[in-house]
Amino acid sequence: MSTRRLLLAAVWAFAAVPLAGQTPATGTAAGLVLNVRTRTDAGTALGFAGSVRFRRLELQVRYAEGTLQPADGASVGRDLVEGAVALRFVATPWLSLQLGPHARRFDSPVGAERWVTWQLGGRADVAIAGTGVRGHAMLWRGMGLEVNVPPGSGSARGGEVGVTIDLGPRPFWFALAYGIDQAQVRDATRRETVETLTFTAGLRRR
Amino acid sequence: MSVRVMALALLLASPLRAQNGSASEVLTGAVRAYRDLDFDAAARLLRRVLAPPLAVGLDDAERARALTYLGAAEHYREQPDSAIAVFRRLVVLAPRHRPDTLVFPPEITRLYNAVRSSTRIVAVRLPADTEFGVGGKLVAWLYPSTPHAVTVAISGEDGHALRTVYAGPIGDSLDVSWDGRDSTGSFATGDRLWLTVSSRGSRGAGGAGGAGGAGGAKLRVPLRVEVSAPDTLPHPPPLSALLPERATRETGLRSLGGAALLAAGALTLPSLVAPGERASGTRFAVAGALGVSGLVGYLSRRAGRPLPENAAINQTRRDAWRRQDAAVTRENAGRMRAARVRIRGGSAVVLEGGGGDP
Repeated sequence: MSTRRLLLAAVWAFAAVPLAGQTPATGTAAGLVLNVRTRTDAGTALGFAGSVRFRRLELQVRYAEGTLQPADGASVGRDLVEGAVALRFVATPWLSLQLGPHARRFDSPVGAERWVTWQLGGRADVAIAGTGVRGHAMLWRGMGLEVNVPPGSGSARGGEVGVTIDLGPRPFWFALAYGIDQAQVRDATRRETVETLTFTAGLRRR
Repeated sequence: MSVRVMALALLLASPLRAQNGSASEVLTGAVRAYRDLDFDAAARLLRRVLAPPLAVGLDDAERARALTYLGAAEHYREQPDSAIAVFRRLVVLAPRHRPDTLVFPPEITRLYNAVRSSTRIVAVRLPADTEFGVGGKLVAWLYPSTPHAVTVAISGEDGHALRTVYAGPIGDSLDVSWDGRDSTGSFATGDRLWLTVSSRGSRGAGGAGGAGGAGGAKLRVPLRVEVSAPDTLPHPPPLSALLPERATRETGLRSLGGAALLAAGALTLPSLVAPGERASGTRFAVAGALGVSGLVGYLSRRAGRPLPENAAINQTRRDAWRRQDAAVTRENAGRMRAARVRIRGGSAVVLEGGGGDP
């Protein structure tokens, strides 16, 4: 057996061990309302998110779309579509690592602009009031940024802080999170900073 | 082999055969002397036949017969103490023995019965080799010389009782059974265990008094007990790492501190991720929500307040532990059903004499 396979087997064996008091498999589905702000425009987007968790591994998906209106009121608005997939490894009840692609597209009369980043990040969870109210903070860094207009690559980084309220035995949960990311295209002195305020309402199934 | 060696062997062997044969002959002669009312000769011959080397050739029935005739002869020789001693020896040898009333007159049987009534001893009969599984038992049959109270126990090599299998009165006979376990429920194994029968002074529940606690006999039967049992699984160790189910002073402070830290993180996140950018005020909404949550967490988790989330986790752990323990218990019970116990019994040994004067 090769070293790579051995490493994969070890990672899988570790990932298959549940945390103390943890339900082996859970799933969530949620609706999102995003307030998105850039330097030039702002708007609201709607979307959904979902996750499936088995022991220490969690797969997350997220999708949202909306329209951004320019702050000056004179320019033309642009549509926003964004989506992300992430694989999260829950190392301890309070610390997890995640990796996955994130894509954001701005549609304007002059054409579509796509930003694609592979995000690698760490997330810390804090119990604020038992398991009912939890807070989290996440920082991530882009492992590669691709932009189509103008064609180029660059770097990106971002973070998110939020609070989640879980309604105990009932399967409902709500979250409010503030996120900010900044992407910079190399050799183009072009920088895009996006702030998001996300309200999420979801269902959890154990 | 030469003729000389053969002749020597025959010469050596013939006295032994003659001795074995003469035990019966001497006994026959003694009985004949008794019937001829020559009680001195009868007593002499009977003492001879009951002493080595002739005694070796007698079985228990012949020995009991010899003792009966000897006791009667001593009585007619006007040696009452000697007669009583002989009859007591007879009771110890064979508690169920009774003199033949067609041979011996009532005065002899009365004397014997008096001795038997005052001599509290039990004869034990058990199989030489018994084998059984879980649920099976070794059965021993007890026959007393007279109704009285007994204690039947299984003892270890040091004489310490491992388990009392019966304590109470014994009448005509008694069956006692033992499942091979000690008082803790574990199998008692060993090469030198004992079935001990202690006769107590009173004559049983409805007894007629008697010697009142004096002179009970103690009899032991050696047992060799072997148990062939498969290995059993160990039970899970007791739960040690349980979460606190009541809040301490630190619990609330930790909630408040964690929320404050996150709120501060929300406020400083723009300068960390996008330094130089002018961030919007939306982050204050999250920082405010975290602050309020921290305050709620602090107030709801003050010292002494129950922590239901920890209690739920502890309950889950306890349930899992109980399930694991029950599974081990079931598995071990299944394995122990395959256990086999083999008990081999030896010859009974009387340790103490059994009774007072008739």
